[in-house]
Amino acid sequence: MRLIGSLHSPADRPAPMTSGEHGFYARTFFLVAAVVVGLGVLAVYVVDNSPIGMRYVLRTRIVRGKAVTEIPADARAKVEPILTERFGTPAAPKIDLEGWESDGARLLRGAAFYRRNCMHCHGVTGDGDGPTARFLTPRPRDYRLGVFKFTSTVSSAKATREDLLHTVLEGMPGTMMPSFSLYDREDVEAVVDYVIHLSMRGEFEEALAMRLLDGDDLDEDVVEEEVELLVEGWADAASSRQPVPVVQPVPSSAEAIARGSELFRGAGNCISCHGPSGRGDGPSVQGMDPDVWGNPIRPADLTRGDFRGGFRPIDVFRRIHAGVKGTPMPGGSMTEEQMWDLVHYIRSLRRGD
Amino acid sequence: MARLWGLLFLTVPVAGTGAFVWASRSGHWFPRNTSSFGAEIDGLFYVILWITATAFVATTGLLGWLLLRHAERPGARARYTHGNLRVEGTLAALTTGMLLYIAVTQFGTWKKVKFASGFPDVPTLAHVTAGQFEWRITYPGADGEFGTPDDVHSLNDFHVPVDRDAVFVLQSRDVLHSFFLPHMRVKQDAVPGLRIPVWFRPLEEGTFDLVCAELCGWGHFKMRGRLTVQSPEAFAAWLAQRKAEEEAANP
Repeated sequence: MRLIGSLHSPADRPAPMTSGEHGFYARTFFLVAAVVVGLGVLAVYVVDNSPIGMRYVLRTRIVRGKAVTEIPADARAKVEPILTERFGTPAAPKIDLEGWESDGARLLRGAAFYRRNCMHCHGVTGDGDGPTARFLTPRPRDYRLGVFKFTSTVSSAKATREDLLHTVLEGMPGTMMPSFSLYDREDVEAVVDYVIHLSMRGEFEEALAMRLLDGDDLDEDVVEEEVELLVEGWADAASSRQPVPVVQPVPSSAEAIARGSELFRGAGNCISCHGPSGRGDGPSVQGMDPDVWGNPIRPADLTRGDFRGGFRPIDVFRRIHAGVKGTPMPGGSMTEEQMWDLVHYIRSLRRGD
Repeated sequence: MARLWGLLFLTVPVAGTGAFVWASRSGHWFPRNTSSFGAEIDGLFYVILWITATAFVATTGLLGWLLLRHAERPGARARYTHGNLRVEGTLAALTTGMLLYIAVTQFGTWKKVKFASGFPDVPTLAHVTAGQFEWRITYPGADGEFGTPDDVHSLNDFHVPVDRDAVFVLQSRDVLHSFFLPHMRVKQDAVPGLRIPVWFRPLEEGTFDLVCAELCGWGHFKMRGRLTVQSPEAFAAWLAQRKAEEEAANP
């Protein structure tokens, strides 16, 4: 009691606040609150509508697998204006390529959706190096090489719109890529447009830089040549879709699984990477070159069931048929019946949920 | 100036109470209840709301009144007091009584909704796995077992039959999430490493929100979900259709 008493001794009381001080604190409080709320509203508006401060960045070095090419500043200075002329800026994206149809309004819509939902991992330029990316394994896709792993096209062809749409709608099990299945379908279609825009832009950057390093001048003929190649590659994807029959030609059965197991160990040589039990621990993985993005090779653990490209029979079939692009997983060189046998065997490897 | 602070403090109970009254009369209140135990949950909510609302209005009102009453009285000296045992004892007893009342009155509902022993005895309808930032739902298929080839999968869209007890297992593949069905009055944390059984019984067909109610990462806002309540026939047809789509060679 004495202690409390002494703390409260009137001699120690601070001087009471004057009314001027009251006013000062009240004004300061309301001013700070208004500024904070205002800045928040402004930030949301700006990011959605005009991405101030965001710009596409050119690469100082281009990585493709083991090959690393340094791009000197003077080369970047020559490439940048051509890229901007053809592809615009984050605030005003476009695809200005002869022979490629592009819907400007939809690109804008896709860009806004991208900034809200994708940029954090995939980055402003689509380099797969947004602020969250460094915390993720596997890394987010770098679109700029024009390569996408999970496609329905033959192994030499690019991804189709449908392939990219499938990834956005279904997500990628086992990675941080979530599904956007309940979002407005037009937004999702638009963001696929925008991803293709980023991907084309990155490829074009690489093509032009390589021409410069080869000693070419970036005159009109050279640029037109590269535009033609780029458009051709993307336009061909749609027609390179691997046709598949409406019904599975070989239904799943104990016999089909046994034949698949035989192929897995034998002619298919799957075990060299995926291991005898399918856990992705085969002997060939040691010392393998990195994938096209420069990341180490990690063959799929086939017992987990969380296949990146999907677990449906058709998904597994497409992986075996087209391979996984940008990685050593090859497209299959066997008959379709054999591939379906393998599909059923691989799907049977999943451990219980 | 000191009077202004008193008024400022008084705006809190006035605006706070006003917001509740306005919200309850203009459709900003609870969504319609469509589950069998929802009314009981709402009842418990109102018990707590009335107790806390009374205490809130009384204490903040008293604070504001005291501030106004004693503001700007030149020459008046502050008095120091160490409290009044009788008043404090009464308040403590009152608070204890209220807390005990709240604790005891929710026993029955809590047991029914959350305790596995109170669960309806029906087979598990599905496994719901939360992840950053999506819901993956697995149905056992015809054999009733999970992890077999006839499993049926759904993404973000949780289908359940109407007027049946839906018992499912909730799990998380990465961080804490919270499975929240506002219309069903169901909210349950999904905890990594735990398989948590959850149940409810929807009484109405339609589509309802399924949201994550635990800040689960920077993309929490993206984690959209939907609950689709269907007639048992439509539910069975949907399962069959999903299965056919999964198995089709050319979807």
